[in-house]
Amino acid sequence: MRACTVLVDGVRINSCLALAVQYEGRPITTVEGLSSDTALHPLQQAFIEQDGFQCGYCTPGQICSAIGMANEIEQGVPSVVSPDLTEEHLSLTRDELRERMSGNLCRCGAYNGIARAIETTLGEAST
Amino acid sequence: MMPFNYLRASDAADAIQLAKAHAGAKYLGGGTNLVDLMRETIEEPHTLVDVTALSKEITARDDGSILIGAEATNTALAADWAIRTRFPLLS
Repeated sequence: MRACTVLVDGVRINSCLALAVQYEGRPITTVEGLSSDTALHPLQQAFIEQDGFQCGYCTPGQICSAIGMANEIEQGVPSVVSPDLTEEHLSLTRDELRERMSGNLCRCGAYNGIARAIETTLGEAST
Repeated sequence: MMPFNYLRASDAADAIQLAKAHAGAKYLGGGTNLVDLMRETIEEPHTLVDVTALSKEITARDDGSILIGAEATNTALAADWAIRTRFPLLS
């Protein structure tokens, strides 16, 4: 369950299990850290355009998790749905996206919009 | 969550030493169980010994085995090429 995913050195973690003292001196990025002064992060914009949220409670975690997930794909980390573990090339297929984001629950059920937002922004993520 | 001491162990021997020196100490790794229970005040350790600095190695050996350090993460294991080719079930 990743309701509250944040990024540490680009790696996604559950902030609810992270004691602040454990991360002393480490760079932590929350969703507020993704946008610039003048523009939203493309993924944030996509969540708006693709109807990726209703109440917004899970949204910060969804967005941070998606960015961490794209990094994992670039690092070549396979998932349970990756067809061939010995295959170096990974790409963000629909199945991979849904599996890798399965830890971020959305009680409003905005999953289709979340998936579309991620696909349209990070869909070309691959090794 | 009640106040606690936080100590970081540099290696396994250090971890044991620190735990022995502080009554009621608990080891802290990923925190998946312990931190949850601390937040609900079901677990109330006086001292946490953070063991996350222990070995993260995943070393393939000539005899076909792989040495996995105590702090190697599941994600690192899943991505490691020796694990993926020699022990795919673990990945």
